[in-house]
Amino acid sequence: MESITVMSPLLAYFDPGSGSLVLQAVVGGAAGLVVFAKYLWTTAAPRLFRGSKPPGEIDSF
Amino acid sequence: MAATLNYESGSYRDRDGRVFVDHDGGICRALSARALTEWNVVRQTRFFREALASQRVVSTETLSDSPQVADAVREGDWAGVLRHEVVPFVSYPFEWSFGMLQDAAILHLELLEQALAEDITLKDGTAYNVQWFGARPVFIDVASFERHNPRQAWAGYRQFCQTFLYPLMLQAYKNIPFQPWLRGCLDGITPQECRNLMSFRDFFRRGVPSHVWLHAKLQASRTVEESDSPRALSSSGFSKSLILANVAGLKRLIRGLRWKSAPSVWSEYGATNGYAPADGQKKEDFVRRAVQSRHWKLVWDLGCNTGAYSRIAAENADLVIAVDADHLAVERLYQSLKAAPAPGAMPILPLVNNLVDPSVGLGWRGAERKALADRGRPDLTLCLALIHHLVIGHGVPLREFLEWLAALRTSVVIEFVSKADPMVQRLLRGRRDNYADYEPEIFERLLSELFDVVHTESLASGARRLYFAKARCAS
Repeated sequence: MESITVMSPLLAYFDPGSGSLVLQAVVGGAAGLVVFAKYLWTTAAPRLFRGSKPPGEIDSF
Repeated sequence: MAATLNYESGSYRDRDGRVFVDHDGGICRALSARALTEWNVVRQTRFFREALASQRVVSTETLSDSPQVADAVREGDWAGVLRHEVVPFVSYPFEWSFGMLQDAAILHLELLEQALAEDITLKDGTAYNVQWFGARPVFIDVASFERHNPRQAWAGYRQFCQTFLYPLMLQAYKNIPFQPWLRGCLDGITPQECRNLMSFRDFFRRGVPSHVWLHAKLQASRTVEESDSPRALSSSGFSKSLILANVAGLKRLIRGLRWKSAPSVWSEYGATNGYAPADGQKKEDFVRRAVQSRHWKLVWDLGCNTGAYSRIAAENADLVIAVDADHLAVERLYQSLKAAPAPGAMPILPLVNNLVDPSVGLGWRGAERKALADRGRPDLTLCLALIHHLVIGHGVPLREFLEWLAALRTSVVIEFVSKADPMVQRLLRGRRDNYADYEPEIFERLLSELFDVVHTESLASGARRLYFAKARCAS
């Protein structure tokens, strides 16, 4: 099982949808919300603090 | 190298496994070396052995030293071969009723839940993973099971939403039939499409804020799209318990969905068909006599309604496909079959299908999902109280309908309902009677031209006549 644990990114034979993967933290209860908050912090925060984006690139997350 | 295996046209997406038909007509699955390793782990697990024993997963054996393995290995990409029990008749989610899709979804979730307990996951989540043995859903894609990476989310969640959850929500919350949506797009309804279909009021319904609204929002987010979400989730502490919580929530949500349909014309047909009790009995006797004349492999009951004649046909047939265009009629038949002590024992598969707008070849090369007749040609077809709806209700020329049946090389039990019948009178109300071909003499002439008529009988009312006719060139 060790080799599976360290296997990194999820490789499906179809596009699982990034948003669909992230949502599974939200619907996973209180523990999931903590994961979601960490996820937002690591992905969205760097973008927010990077400076202004060109028009049309801003979205709600 | 040219393909030597007879691959199933609907099985091509997953490069780690492909279904093919062997020389004996058996259904086999070629596996890559990677998939074979996963299979050898999965088949040892307790949950999988129990699922096989309870027939919730299709019966499967691993082949070794067989011609099928030699053929697959010779092809180059494959390391092993499995052989599955043959599904009696392949059907698709866009032909199922609400309850069928609901039960297939629950089966999917239960298997995932039990698999996760032993660190196995389902790598996809499509409704096409399920088939039917009578009224019993069976999971067929055993190669979907593989070892679970504890830090990864369920890759099949979006597929599950698109092909199970959203279609069920559409029917339960909006009373919109899901079948045309699933037939229109084999990948199902996207989160964005589902969100657009929901009103402000629907936002407060169970499951909509999270599984629909937020799901659509996250899917449309460029930030999420451009991030390496699997890795970011993993480093944020994603764990198996979150998938289990989601699966438990989905099970509650789906079990709670109810389709509150108003009675349809056909769902009430049993009570309003206008048959005198003696005529009803006479018709049943006629059908039973035809059914008992020999054993039938596959019977189609077109316009099955309550399924009363499907049940008679099932007395002497391997399988009866009970087809009706009316969703509610099919749903009621499914629920009555499901309520039987052994739902899979009665060889009747109810399907929603409209003869004038039928299932056709869909998907890649138009062959991924096949037309009804391409999945199994009937050797007996019941067309009871049907022909007037096709000819007068939908304008199908009488000759063309009979020629279509003859081309199937099927024997028929067919009822001709004359223009004097109150049901035909009702159909003719408000429209010009330009159905000059719809006369008993013309019907009999055409039937005799295309079939060998075995016997006929008039019902007491005099306006209806039954015919049992054999195919001219039956195999």
